[in-house]
Amino acid sequence: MDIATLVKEAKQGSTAAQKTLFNAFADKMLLVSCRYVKRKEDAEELLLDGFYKFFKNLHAFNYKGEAALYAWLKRIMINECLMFLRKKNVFTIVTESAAEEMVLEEEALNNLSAAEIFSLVVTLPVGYRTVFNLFVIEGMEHKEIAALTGISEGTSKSQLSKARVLLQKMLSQKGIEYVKQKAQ
Amino acid sequence: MLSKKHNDSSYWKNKLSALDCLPGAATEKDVLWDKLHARLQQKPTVNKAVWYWIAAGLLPVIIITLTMVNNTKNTLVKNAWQKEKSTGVTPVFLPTVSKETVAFSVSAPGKEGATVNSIKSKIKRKQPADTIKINGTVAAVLPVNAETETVVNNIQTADTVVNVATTVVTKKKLPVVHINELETFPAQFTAPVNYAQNIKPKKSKVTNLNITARQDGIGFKIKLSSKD
Repeated sequence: MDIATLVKEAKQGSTAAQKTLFNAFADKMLLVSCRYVKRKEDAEELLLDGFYKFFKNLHAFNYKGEAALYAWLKRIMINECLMFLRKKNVFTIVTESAAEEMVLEEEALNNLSAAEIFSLVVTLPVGYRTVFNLFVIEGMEHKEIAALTGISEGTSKSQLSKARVLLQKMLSQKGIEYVKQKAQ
Repeated sequence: MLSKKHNDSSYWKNKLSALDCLPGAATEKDVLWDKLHARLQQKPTVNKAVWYWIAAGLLPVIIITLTMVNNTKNTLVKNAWQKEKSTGVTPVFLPTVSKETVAFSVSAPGKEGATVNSIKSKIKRKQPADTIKINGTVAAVLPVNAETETVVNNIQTADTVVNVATTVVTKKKLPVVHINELETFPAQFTAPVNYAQNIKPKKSKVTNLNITARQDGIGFKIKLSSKD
C-alpha cells in the first residue's frame, strides 16, 4: 500500500494505517530527535509527542507527495525537540575554549562511518548541537534559528562557529585514532 | 583544505543522510506504538483550571469597569447641576435612574409663551407611582418612597413646546462649623443676656392641676392652668 492511501485512511481514523505510517517513519524521526536530545528516553517521548500531533493534525494536511509528508513530519519533530530544549533553558551560551584547527589526512576522515559522524554531532554541547543541526543539517538561516530558539542572530553565528571548531577537533582526534589503527 | 570541506553543509548532510536508523540498540516500535495508540484513544480533557483562572482574571476588570461607569454618570449629572447653578441654564438629561439622582425631561403642551420660574416643591412620597402634574399634564412619575425635590426651571415655550423639569434626590447636609470659625457672631450669642429681666413673674393662682401619665409609661405631664 502506498503512502498516499495510508494517509487517506489514517485521516479517516484507520488505526492500521496509522500504525503503518508510524512504522514507516519512526526510525528516521527518532534519529532526528536523537540529534537534538541526547537521552534516548527523552527522544522516544518526543517521538510520541510528535506523532501524536501529526495524527491529530493530519486532517489539515494536503498530501502532495512523500517528500512533503516527510518534511512536515520532520518539522513537527524538530519543533517538539526545540520546545523541549527551551523548557530546559539550555540555550545559554556555553563557553568553550576554541579548538585549534588541525590539518589531517582527508582519507582518514572520509573513512569515518555515518554512525561515527552521528555520534560526533551528538557529543557536541547542547547549544552548539542545536544550532549546528538547524543550520547545517536542516539548512535554516541564522534569523530563523534565532526566532526558533530565542537567541540572537549573533549568538547563533558564534555557536555555529564554535560547534564547527569543536567538531573539527573531534574529527581530528578520530582521524588520528584511525591512522593509528591503520598503521598497526 | 580539510577544514573548508568539513565546513560545507552538504558534507555533513550527506554523511548523516546515510543513516536510516539509530545506531546501537534497536527501537521497540511496538511498545512505542502501544503508548501512542493509547494516547490517541484518550478523549481530550477540558482543563477546568484554565477557565477558573480566566474567570478570576475577568472579575476585577468587570468590577472596576462597573464602578467607573457608575462614577462617570454621577459626576456628569453633578457637573451639569453645578453648571446650572452658575449659569441658570437647565441641562437636559435623558431619563436615567440612579440611587442618588433622578433626571428626566417633560413637556407641557398648550401653554405657549408661558414662563414658569423656579417652582420648587418638596414631596415626600409614600404611595407607589405618584405623578407630578404641570398644567394638567403628567410631568413625571415618582418612584416609591423617594424623597425628592422637584425643580422646574425657566419653562419657556415660544414656538415649540420644550419644557424641562428635573428631579433630584438630595440629601441635605448641613455644614459643620466651629463657633470660632464664624467671623461675626450673631448678637444673640455676643450680647449679655439678663435672664432675670426676661422672667416676668405672674401672680396667679393655680386652680387646676392636671397630672397625666404618658401612655408609653416613660414620663408624665403636668398641666398648670389659671383662671385668667
